[in-house]
Amino acid sequence: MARTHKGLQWVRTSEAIRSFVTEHGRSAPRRAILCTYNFEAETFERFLFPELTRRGRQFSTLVLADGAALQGELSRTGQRRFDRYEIGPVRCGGGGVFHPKLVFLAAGRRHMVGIGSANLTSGGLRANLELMMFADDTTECGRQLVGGAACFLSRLIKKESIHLPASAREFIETALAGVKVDRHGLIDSLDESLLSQMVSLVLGKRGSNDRFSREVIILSPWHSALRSPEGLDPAIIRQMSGAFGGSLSIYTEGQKGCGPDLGVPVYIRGERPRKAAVDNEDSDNPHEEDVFDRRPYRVHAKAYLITSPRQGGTLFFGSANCTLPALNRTPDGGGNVEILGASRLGDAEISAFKGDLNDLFVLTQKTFGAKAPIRPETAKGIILCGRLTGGRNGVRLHIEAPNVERGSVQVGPKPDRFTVTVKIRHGWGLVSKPIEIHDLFPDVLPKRSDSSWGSVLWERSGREGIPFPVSIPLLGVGTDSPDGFLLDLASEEMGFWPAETTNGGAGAQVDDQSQDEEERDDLDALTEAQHEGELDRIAVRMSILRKRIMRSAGGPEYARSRMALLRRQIAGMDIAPHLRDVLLEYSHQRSPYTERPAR
Amino acid sequence: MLKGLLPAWVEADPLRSRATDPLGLQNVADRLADRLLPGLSVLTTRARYFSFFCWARGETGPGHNEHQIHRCEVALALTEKSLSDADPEHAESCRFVGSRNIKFFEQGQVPADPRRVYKMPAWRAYRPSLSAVGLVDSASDFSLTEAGAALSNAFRRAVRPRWEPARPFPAAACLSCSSHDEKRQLRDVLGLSIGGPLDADSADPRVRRSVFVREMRKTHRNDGLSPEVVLPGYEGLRSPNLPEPARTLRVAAVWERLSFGLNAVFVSWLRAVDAGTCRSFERTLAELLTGRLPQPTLEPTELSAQNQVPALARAVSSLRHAIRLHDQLDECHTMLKDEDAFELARSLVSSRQAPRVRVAKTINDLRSRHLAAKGDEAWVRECPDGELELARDGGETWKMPSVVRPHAYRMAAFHQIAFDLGGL
Repeated sequence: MARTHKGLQWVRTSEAIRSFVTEHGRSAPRRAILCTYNFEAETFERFLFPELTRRGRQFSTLVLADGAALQGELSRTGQRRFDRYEIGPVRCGGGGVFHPKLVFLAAGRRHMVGIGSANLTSGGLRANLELMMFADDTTECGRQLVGGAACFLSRLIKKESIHLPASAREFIETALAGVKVDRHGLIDSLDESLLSQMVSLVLGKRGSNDRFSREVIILSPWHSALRSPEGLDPAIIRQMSGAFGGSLSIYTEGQKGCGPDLGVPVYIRGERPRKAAVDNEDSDNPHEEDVFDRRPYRVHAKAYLITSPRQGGTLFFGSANCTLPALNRTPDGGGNVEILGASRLGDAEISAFKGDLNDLFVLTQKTFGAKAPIRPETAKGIILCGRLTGGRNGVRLHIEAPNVERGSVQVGPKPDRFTVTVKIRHGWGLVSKPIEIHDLFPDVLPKRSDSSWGSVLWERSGREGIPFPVSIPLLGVGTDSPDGFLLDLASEEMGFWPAETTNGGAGAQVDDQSQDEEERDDLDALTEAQHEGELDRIAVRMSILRKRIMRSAGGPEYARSRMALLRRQIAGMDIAPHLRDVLLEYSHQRSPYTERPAR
Repeated sequence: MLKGLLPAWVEADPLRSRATDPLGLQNVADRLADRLLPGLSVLTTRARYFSFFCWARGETGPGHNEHQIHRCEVALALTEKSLSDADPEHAESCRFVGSRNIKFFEQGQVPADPRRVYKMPAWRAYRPSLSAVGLVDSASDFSLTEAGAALSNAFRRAVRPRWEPARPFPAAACLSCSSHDEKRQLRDVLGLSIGGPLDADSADPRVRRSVFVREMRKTHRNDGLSPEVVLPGYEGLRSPNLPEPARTLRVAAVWERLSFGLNAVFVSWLRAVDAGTCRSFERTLAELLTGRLPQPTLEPTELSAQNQVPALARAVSSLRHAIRLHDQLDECHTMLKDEDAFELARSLVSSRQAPRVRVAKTINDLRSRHLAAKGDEAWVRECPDGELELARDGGETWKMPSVVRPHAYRMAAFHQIAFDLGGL
């Protein structure tokens, strides 16, 4: 629930998502892409994922997280199963980290974007002082944000130096089908450093003469010299001072009442004790102000406000900390992947923001020696991720190792137990023998018709085991069974998941929670076709998939892009050539009944 | 570039009371509680809130207007406050949401912004239960169902409230004064008055609650319901074909033995980290691992410096007992689904390694489990020099957990509801 404070509103991430889902979630297809640096699956599954699955409005959900941070998290939590979403680890080839925090939701033709500083962790959702902006495309600013996020994601999947799973690339491309890209909605570090973009946005291409009357406010966490992508770096502060001129002040987290000595005024978040209790059953507790309505103390927000006495100011907010890899480098040059929103502010908005900072922070005179943050570790091992697909001869595990041309790797179900050796050719490996699959997943094998779509396996690297996530791909790519693939795509397009079954998936049906009569007819047809021969099944599923795409609430632009993508997906399938030709031919056919695009 | 738009600060998501669980053991207890008392929670403690919220939801129109419902709640809280001011005994016996904060609210009228009295509407705590027992429909803006509308009418008939948003309700709205009609309807929807034979394995939540009520009538008619009173009676049962809810209660007893032991060891270690007495803690725990210990109770245990050795002895004894019961009962594997926690306990109490090695390994494992459960909110952190310290934001008044108690299993809350409705 958003609440008006003196200045900025206070919002809950889960409620921002819930209000979009409540208002627009009826329309399919429903897709969600979430980018984060750290990812805590338990927190995500408890707080956010339920909002994306309420009332049968299931969003196909992809979580992109930094590869090294995800490895650390999986090592800590050990073996676990993930709910019905796909996890995509991202590795930056240049040595930086994947650091954007982005929520992109699509429901029919409506989209929502959230950008800011909050990771999908308990800190990001509940404990830290974070800044986020949520907007949907019913407003002009929302459309700019959606276009900016689409621009960032579409360039991210094309960037060769950034490795993310092929299934994730395909899903992002599908989710962006028909979305208008706006290069000016957001700024990112993919091709040009953020600092140079900030300078040109504030000062213009030629620069400005009144540089030294400006005021620069930096809000960024301080993490001393820990291994972390977070932090303040004295070197970048000097660069910012040189670029923008004028007076500079820092708002950051303190330590025991002291702030870092950065040679400029430093304001720190006032400190207050934190409460902890073990399982207190007092019924009044949840209504206590200090429990629910506290203002967080751990600073994790990142914002840069550059003001000028005559021209208002510009606020940059998002994922980039005040460090060199975040602000002054691109991923190709060893920098991080970051995004920032840029907003031109008038005097009223500037004073509201400053008012909040004055409320939340206090000027400190006591300082300690500042140290630059140590770069975080990069991802270990060669495997990016695994994905499980159903095939004609049972389940297959595809291993993705993008940097390996030729080699082999041992994988196993536990950090100290490696049972299968996988050959890698051109970045891909395959495990298809049932006994090997059983060895890797001795307890439960994730299935599309199961409550869990993901698990963790371990690769041997020297003497240690390195974890990597294994997921069911959201779009069913990689299978050699065309009818299964088409069923997955059709149900995904309609926004329904296969119902959970206890008999191992045999006879899986999609959840019939549709309110729309035509949708229900399509679901019935999909279910009934399970008892037909293979070619009939394929014909029914293809027909319904095509109809759903052409009549999608996403609109004609979406339908055109999605059909083109579908043809590419079919062309890339590992199936018999004659079947592929039939499917391609069918996908090109026009019919006045099925190909009437939605208005 | 965006024009004139500001981002927002992120407000903490709720459910922090759950997040106090340091080792992530609450989830299993919640799952078991769902089998025993589905649809209720530890927060739904007063029966009349069910009929009151039905009335309030009906009064606030077709759309879901949480703000107006919150104002109604505050009006009710003001009524309760005036009754408590007049009668100190009422203050003791009739608990209501907002009782602490409203003491400091001087005005006699409901403010336009009810959050001035207390921030979080109780409606949020009761809403899932109202939906689960079939009084509101969560799929259509929490509109009243037929049963909800009937209960709302019963409340209206009993209280005859006038809808004036700024005014407190009449004394008849008191949470302890449910009418006979309200009680009858609530006993029916909550499963307190189902007659005839029941299918103990039914998935129907109302039947499950009813089966639980019958079980408790047999054994605890006159006692208060709480895990420490109820569960020990079930852990000794050995039959392989126990009917529900005895089967779930037996598994819950095993889980509580384990939870108590792990929580007590972990929090005691935290206290030792804070006091700089980690070595002494490890030595004490290692010594306790070598001796025989009596079987402990499930009562809450205080963890003070003076009480450290008895508390640790109870923890070790609880863990031994939990492992023994776990190995004897097949359903522990299928119903608890947290074998890692048992393995952790087993490596402490029944491994063949030297006690000091076992203790060191257990502390390491407990820390990993705590980090996995709490993430950024971990209670302990490593300094750059490798030393451990408590992750407190301020130095002086940070409160270390001082008591370890069993999970609630909604028993006390349900007992209070049953009491409001005339008893089990």
